[in-house]
Order: sequence, then C-alpha cells, then structure tokens
Amino acid sequence: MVGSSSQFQQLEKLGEGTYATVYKGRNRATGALVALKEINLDSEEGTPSTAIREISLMKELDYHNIVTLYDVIHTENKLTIVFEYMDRDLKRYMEVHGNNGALDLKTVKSFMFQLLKGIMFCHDNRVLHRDLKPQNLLISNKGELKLGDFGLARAFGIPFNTFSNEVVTLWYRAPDVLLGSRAYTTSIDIWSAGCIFAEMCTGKPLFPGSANDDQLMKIFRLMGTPNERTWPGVSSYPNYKNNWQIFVPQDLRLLIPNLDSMGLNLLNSLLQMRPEARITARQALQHPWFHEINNPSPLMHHINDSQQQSQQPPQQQQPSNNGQINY
Amino acid sequence: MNNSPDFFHQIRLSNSSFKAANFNLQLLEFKSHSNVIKEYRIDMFNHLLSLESSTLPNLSLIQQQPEINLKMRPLLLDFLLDVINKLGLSKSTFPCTVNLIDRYCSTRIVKKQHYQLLGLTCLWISCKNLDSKYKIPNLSDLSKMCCNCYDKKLFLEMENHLLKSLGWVVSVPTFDSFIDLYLNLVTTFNNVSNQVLNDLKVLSLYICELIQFYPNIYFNYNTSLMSLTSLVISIKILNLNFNLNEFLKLLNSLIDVDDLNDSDSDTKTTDPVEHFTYSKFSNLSKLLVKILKCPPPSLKLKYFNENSKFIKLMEKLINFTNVSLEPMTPKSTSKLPPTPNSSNISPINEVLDNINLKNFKSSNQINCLPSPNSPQFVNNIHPPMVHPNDRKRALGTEGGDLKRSKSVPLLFIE
Repeated sequence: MVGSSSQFQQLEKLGEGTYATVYKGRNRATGALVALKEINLDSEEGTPSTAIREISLMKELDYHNIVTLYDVIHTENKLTIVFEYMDRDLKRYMEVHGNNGALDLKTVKSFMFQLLKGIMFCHDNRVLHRDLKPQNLLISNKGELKLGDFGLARAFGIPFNTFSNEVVTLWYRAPDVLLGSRAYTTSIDIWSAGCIFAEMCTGKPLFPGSANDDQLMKIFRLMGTPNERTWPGVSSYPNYKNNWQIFVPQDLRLLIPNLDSMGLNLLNSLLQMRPEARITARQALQHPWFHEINNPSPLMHHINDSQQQSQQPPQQQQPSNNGQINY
Repeated sequence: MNNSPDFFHQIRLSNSSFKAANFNLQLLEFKSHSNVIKEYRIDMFNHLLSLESSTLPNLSLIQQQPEINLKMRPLLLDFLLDVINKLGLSKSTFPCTVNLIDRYCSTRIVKKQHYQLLGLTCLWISCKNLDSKYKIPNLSDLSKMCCNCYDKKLFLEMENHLLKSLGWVVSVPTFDSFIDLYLNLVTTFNNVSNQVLNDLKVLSLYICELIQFYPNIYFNYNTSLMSLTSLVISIKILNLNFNLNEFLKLLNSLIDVDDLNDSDSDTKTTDPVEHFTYSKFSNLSKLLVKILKCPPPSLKLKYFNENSKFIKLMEKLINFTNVSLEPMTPKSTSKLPPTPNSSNISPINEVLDNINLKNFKSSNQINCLPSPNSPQFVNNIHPPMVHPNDRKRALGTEGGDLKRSKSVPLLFIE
C-alpha cells in the first residue's frame, strides 16, 4: 500500500531517539494502532543511512519475534516509518510489572526464549542487530517480546567486514568491542542478551558504566581481568592496557541469588569474555534451562526427564561445579 | 567513548587504528569469526539465494527503454567504478549499485540525460547501505562528481523516487558475499593458507567486477553461479587442485529446496532441481576466459597498474588466458590498422598480452579498451566499449561527463 501521512492520526509521543521521534498513531480507516517513527530529512544528506539500513533489513526479516514494518511514507522533508504497535518496551515493563524492576523467573524465561529466537532469526539471515537493550525490546499485552529499532543493524558477511566500534549502548557493549575489536560478529548480540538476562532478574543494569574504560572495569570486577592466559591474544587489542587493576572472577550466584543453577549456567555461557567462547543463539535455545518450553507436555516432562538430559550435547548437559562452561 | 573529543582524540584514534592493523590480531579475529560463522553459513547461503531470486533485473524490460541502451551501460559503470575506487568504498558497493541501476531500469523509463544521475544516486544509496559513515559523499560531492550538471535537488528527488520504486529493497546479495561463503566452505575441507585465500579472493573479485561490464553474460547467469565460476577460474589460475564435481554436489546439497520457489512438490523427492549444474558452469567459464584480458579502463587502472599490489596476480591471469586461448588464436597476430581516428579515444588493438607498464600512464588510460577487431574478440560477446561518437551521445553532450581526462578532477581534492 502506498501510504500518506493523512492516513494516520498522530497521537502522543512515545519516545525520542538520536535521529527519530516515535509517536503512537491510529490508522484512520481501520482504527488500528501503529507506531510512527518520524525522521527529519537533512537537505545535504538525503535519506539517512540508518533509515535505509533499517528499512531494507526489516523488509527481509519477517518473523513473529521481530516488529513488523507496515509502510514507509516518504515526503520531501520527512520520512515516516509505520510499525506494528507494541504496548511498551521491556524497560517500562520492568518498571510497571517488576518487583523493584525484577521480574519473576517464569516471565524471564519466556522473554529470554523469545529474545534468543529473535536473535537467531536475525543471525540466520546474516543481520546483526548491534543495539540490543531493554528499550529496544517491545512487549505486547499478550506477553510477546519483539526486537525493534534496527537503526544500527547491519548485514554481515563471511569471513568478516570491519565495522565501527561505536555500536551498542555502552552498558550492553561486549568486552571485545570495548577493547577496540572491529571484526566482531554475532557474538556481540549474545553479550547484550546476557546483560539483559541479568537485568531482568535483578531489576538493575548489570554493567552501568559511564565511559569506555569505566565500562571495562565494571565488567572486569565481575568477570575477572583478562590476561593472555585466560584470553589468548587479548593484549593485541587496541585498547588493551597492561596496568589494569587485577580482579578475580566473581560467582554470579551472589549477584543473582534468585536464579537457579541451570539459569546461571546459561547466563555464564552468554557472558563469556572471549567472543569465540560465547554460546550462539541456536545453542542457547537448546539449553536445558528452556527444557519446559522446548518440551511443553507436562507428562512427557516427567517421564523423559532423564532421557532428554542425556540427549543434549555434552557441554550443555549439566553445569559444572563453578557454573562455567569449559570449551 | 565520549561524544566530545578532546585534544588527543585524533591521536588516540590513529594509535588505535594502527594497533587494529596488527596482523596477528586480525588473524586471531578472523579465525574466531570463521568458527562462529560455520553455524550460520547454510542458513545464510539459502537466504542469499532466495534474496537473489527476488532481486533480479529484467533484461527484456531494460531493452525496451526508449532512450537508453545496453551500450551505454559499460560507460556508466566504468565511471561509477572509478568513483568507488577513488572513494575507497567496500567490495559490495559496486555490485549493489549495478543491481539497483538495472532493477530501476526494469521498472521505470529513464531519460538519456538522467542516466548518470541514476547511476550516482544508486551509488549513493549503496554506499549509505554498506559503507562507514565518514566515507558517504554528501550532496555537494555528488554534484561535483558530474561537474555540477545535475542540481542537488535532483539527487534528492531521484533518491526518493528510486527507494519508492524498488520498495526499499536495497540490500542485495553481492558477488563478494557469495565468494566469501564459497571460500569458507572450501577451507573446511582443504587446508589453504591465508595468502592463497587472499589471492583467490582478489582474482575472483576482479573477474566478477569484469563480468558486470558484459551484459550478455551478466544478465544470463545468477550472481551465485557467476561468483562460483569466477572462484573456480581463480583456482585454476593459481594452479591448485580442486574437485569441482564434489563441490558442486556439496553446494546443491546445501540448498533448502523448500525455501526456493519450488512449484510441484511431487517431483521434488525424485528429481531435485539442481541450482548449480555442470553444463551451466562450463558454458559460463568458456565465456569468461574470453573476456579476462579485456578490462575496462577503471579495472585496468586498479588491477594492472604498475604500482598495483595485484600486478603479480594479474600476470598469472594473463598467462592463464594465453594458454587457455592458445588453440583459438591465430599464430600470426597480424596487426590490424588502428581505427582512423585522430583522438586517442579510439580503441586500439591492444589486448593485454603482456603487461606493458609504460602504457599505463594517465594520458593513455583510455587506450586500454580492447578493439572489437582483435583476434581475441569473439563475436557473440559485446565488448564494454562503444564508438567514441557514441560515448558523447550516450551521456548527453552537455556534460561530456565521462571524459575522464578532464572531468574526473571531481573526485580528488588535491
């Protein structure tokens, strides 16, 4: 359909980003709610590259855990992208429904599962989201979670392109990107998913750093300061310093006491410092923590419990004592 | 990093990019990346194939264009590739630009005087889609590139119109993405050194860039097959052992038949449609060998320049072509008289038999177009060149835009 602005009634403002403003809107013909993302066009730059990437990539990604793009309205000085309307983002959801922001484990599990499915679909279609954070995950009243805001997303290739390292809001940025890696890949979205996982459990951001170095320190404080032994090659990263304060890895259990050991094991696999040691979205979805979602029948659940476990690949079978996965 | 750079910001940036150029680090990251990618490559391959079939240009519709024709296409592409090389854009930008141009020409009538505008706008969009922010030219740059013969407003209008006409589908599978995928697959079975991988990639990319100048080849085959054939020819050029049949079999086995528009499900089980067949492959590679030595000026400048880091590889390519074409070329290469034309724009009977470095000075760049009379030329292939008068006609006389000697200063601010 070819839309025009008058087709939608503009309602209240939902949010403001760096290059766009999002309004709630209503389709005048059908009465259906939509989200209108308005971008002002610069006369020297034309259509911003972020908009070109976001629209062309989202046209490729038709999936129930990714927000649907309905239409694009392009006028001389304004570009409006019409999206499916979602009730709120995850950040707001946690404020409203959480206990001091913390969600109950059942909800966390459902959201994590949907988040990982959305990520897997992006990666299978060679798209990196690069800006996963609670504000960009949208929640419907039915409890569906969808990935939104593909403004920083990019198609990636094999073996790799070099990208900008100014991606992902600082708090959810992977250590390899913070260290100056430009050849990152799918693993950066996985790190963000780990940060979001912890945040849903505790209600607080896991690594709320204020600048690049501070962010690294916050990560090291919890995950331990990397060295050539724990992370071969770390000293060749551009932002590596040999005078970092030495921290030893902490037990995540102390930080997130309400999460069971299986969940902690998954979290640990998501939050691996070395990018190549991080679990992939597909593997994560097979993790035993999601057992009841992958095997919904309660009867089967009891009978097959032990069998199911032994069918898992060995590294996912059970958490080792310290909750870390050895690769 | 902060948004407001302090005094030392620039120094830190250059330090960090120096460190990022660390070869060991790159190798390490390359390794870890290709490990991760293994899990995704089959899905990616199928995704690229389905994307490929949904973003095909339509040759017969392009041929119905009243004002522009296929002879103008190589000239436009040559100009655009020059721009891309000078701006140092990504490997995907050129094929993406070409796809956008052809797809637009398959849906809308293009006036002759707007063909270059279309080309530059497609380049602009591809660049925004694929390249890093600081490399994207702004409107004034674009305007300068064509000697200000188009108003800035026209670019904006064209961009708006183009995105609408193509339904915003502007990320298309490009040659390099297929080549990378194939290389990744090849390396799982054979141990190939990084140097060889790199050489293979350079050669295949050269061949793929070249193909786009030959509409008779480009429009008859899929990007996935052209990339594969280029890679296999590159493997031959480097004289490596390679089991082609096995590889074709492997590729066909990776294709998810349900994903690709398969019409009748009954026959599917008994006789799966093979995407990569040997006959298609060998037809194409015969055609390709014939054009290998006939690059348009922009490619010649990039790959055959005496200072080019690719010159050694290109020597191998020339040798390979000479050997492959041996039986067909007449022994006595009787030189045909050059076309009676005063200017040095006239195509000269010079195919790259040996790389004559002296001819590569800028004044002579235009000479490198192969002559249609040269024995190496085969009748059924249109060379990427036209008569000098066509050149003027093609691009609208008002700019004479593509005359590189005068009007290319555009690109470089020296």
